[in-house]
Amino acid sequence: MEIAGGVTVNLYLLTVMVGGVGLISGFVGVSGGYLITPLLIIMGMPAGIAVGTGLALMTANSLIGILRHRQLGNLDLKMSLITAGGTMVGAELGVRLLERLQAHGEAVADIAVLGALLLTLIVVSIVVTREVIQTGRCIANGSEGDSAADDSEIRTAACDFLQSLKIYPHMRFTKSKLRISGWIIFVLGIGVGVLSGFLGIGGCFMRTPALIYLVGQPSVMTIGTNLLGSFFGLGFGAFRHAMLGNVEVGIALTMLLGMGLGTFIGAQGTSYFKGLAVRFVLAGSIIAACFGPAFKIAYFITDVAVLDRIARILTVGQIFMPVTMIVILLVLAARHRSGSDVPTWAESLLASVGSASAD
Amino acid sequence: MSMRKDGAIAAVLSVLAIAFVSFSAWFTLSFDPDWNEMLGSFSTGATTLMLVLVAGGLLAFAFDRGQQAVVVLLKPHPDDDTRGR
Repeated sequence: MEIAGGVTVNLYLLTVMVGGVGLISGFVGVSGGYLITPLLIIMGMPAGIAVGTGLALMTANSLIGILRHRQLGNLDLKMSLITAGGTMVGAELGVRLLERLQAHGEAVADIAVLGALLLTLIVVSIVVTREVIQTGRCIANGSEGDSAADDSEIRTAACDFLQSLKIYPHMRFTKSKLRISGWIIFVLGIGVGVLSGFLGIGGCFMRTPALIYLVGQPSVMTIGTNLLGSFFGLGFGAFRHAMLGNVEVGIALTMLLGMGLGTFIGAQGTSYFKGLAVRFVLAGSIIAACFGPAFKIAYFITDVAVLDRIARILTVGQIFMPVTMIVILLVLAARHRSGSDVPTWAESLLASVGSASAD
Repeated sequence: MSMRKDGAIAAVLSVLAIAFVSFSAWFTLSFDPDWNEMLGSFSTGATTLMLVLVAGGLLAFAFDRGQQAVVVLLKPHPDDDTRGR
């Protein structure tokens, strides 16, 4: 398929691959920008068109995820809107920060962005992996950690402290079953927005752990909340890029067929698992996402071409690890529901058959 | 209305919605309309955004009806005695 600038892309392969990204998006609640944009560029699209088309695709795909999670009851509208407001303000600050850095030279900006991305990914992956391992051990020992994994909520010292701060308006979030100041949610959105604007990504993979570990929102509830929180920013980005002629509508619609189906299956899959499974896949996908930027930074520093090639391969490869994890979990869930034996570790991730919200 | 009839209608609606989005994709790929030339840049942005959002909404509807159709049509309904009511 030939697109603007005479570049040829394999549309069918792209549609299948973004279907995998959709599966991750629906299951974990990320918009998938950190996977889609590099994928489109590596598949041969010019960077501007890749960003614009990717944004249009993610906007439409987020809508599919939001509508599905709303049906499944995984959406806190009030929290989404406050987070979205904060993220937009923060994104503007992040973009201005990036502009200042670019004044010192493109190379400085590139290393700063990739370094900040890598640092954020490492910190988030350590926090999520540590918690997942601890909760998994508690479940294996049959201790009280089961209640946390059962997705009522995760109690960290940070979320206890933040919820106890009585800053007006101290709001009740009925769907998330918690009370916290609206300002804290807004400031959290700004923090994610600054990183999002600075790093040029949607910020979902940062917002998800922030909502779980700092706000205390149930893991499954963060998925829909997060998608709606990023929807407005994605839509605005798509609108601006379309004005510049950077959106290939036909390609976006074709890829949407694959990605939308993946998102729908992923979103449906969350109803068969406890929150721990979502965090388990989130940890895997963030760890997988660390390697690409690490090799890219090594390439910038050493200028060895093979490192750049490895970084590109790893960037595409990072889609496969979480997709494999989700497919294995879905197969185990299907076996569990049909009454077949599943490994003990998998049982701790599966919701009881009666609690699945859809058949 | 019988459960099976509900399932069939859901299946048809699902196929129609997916066909509509597929047709739109084929049309824009085949005829390659130059949105920027046809419309002003603001209208281009608005039209593109509206188009992808309508496609997203339609696909969400299609997958939901598709799932409903699969559940209804593939499960045996031995006690489907509502027929003719």
